[in-house]
Amino acid sequence: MNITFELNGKIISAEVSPHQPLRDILRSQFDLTGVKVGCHSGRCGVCSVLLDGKVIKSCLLMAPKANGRSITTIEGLSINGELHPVQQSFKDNFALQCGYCTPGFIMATVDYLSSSPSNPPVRDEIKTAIKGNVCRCTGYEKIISAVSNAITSSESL
Amino acid sequence: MNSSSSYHLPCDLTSALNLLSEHSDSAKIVAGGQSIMLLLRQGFLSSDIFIDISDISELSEISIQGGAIHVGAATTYTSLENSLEIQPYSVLLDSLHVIADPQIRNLGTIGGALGHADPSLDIVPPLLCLDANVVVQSLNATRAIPLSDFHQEYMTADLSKDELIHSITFNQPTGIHGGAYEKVANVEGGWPTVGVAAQVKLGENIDSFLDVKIALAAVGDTAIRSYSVEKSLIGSEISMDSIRESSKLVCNDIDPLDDLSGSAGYKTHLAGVLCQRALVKAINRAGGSL
Repeated sequence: MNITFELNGKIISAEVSPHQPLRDILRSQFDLTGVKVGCHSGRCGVCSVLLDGKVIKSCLLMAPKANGRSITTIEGLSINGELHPVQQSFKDNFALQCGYCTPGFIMATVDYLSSSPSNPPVRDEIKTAIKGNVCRCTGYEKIISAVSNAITSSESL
Repeated sequence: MNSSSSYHLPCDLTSALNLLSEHSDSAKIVAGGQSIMLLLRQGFLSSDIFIDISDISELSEISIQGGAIHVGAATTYTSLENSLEIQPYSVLLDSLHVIADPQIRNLGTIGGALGHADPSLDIVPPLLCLDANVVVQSLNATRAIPLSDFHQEYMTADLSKDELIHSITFNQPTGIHGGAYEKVANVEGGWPTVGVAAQVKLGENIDSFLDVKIALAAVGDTAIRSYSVEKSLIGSEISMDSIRESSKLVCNDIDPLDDLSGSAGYKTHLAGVLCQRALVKAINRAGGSL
């Protein structure tokens, strides 16, 4: 079936089957390889994208469900080559090692920041917000610092 | 690949019911679609006709009518967690907080969960404690089924091929009450090894049980009430000793399996421990002391 949706700010159409997860469409038809492939079962979070601004796992989204909705991937966050504040915070805090899980963590953090997180940041609340994402390099401390600093600096924006 | 498959996104309930009636032999209702996506990928499901109910606004509504709360089937866990109507139901809130992770809760729905009928779903024991009813609808009829009867056996719900889940309803607890859900899982946000919900109603001196409801996940073919624990506590005075002794009786009502998350013996022990913890928390929330 043909669906139309907003992808990183542009209205696009795609031919999809209900048996395909949105992740496969984003990677194969639109070259958005920042949407990573991991567990295929909704556990690891590397394929996280925003659906109407809310973070979801694109390996579990039946592709036709994107019809008429808005999808944002990591590629859609920066504006005119300038990193999104959450991307900048991950960079400033060295919150990536191999980098494979990073897009997923950043998408989860972008959603978390839009849901009025506690400020000053609360460590347990941050851990709950990113618990759907796995970092196999186990670099969680720096990721938590990056999220925490993103919250603190969003206050000054 | 599946060139014959069709995916419908009706905007109103009548259209959805018409489609379902027309394709009742082969159609699958989709809400969040996450469990269906997994089943399709694993080859357990071969449906080619899908009817997505998430654009039907009346199925995402939460309302209070005559002391009963109605939750539309396509309401996501996140909307439920954030709704003002649900805030007094601590037993339900506890479980919503520990279901998977934000991503899954943003898509997953209460109706999808009940239709899926997995015995390990965290949302079911709290709803059993609240005596929830499931409202199902076909083109010609509407039925309200007690949730305790709705899940008939392992991953099997009392749902005909031409019916869909419309909503879930439950009454607001009265009197001095409190509830809690306790769970142990192998990983943060994982499926429960065992989950136990408790809902208590206390006497006016806050020292005795007028009513107790206990329900468990992941300990049998369906989520289940523990009438043995309930009977032994109802009418008795609140004490740590009685809670400890009664919680042991949970073993009479459950039938856990040995699996990767633990042996049946371990899960039976865990069920008793979590039953105690849930009861203590529920009593504290009701204003009782131990």
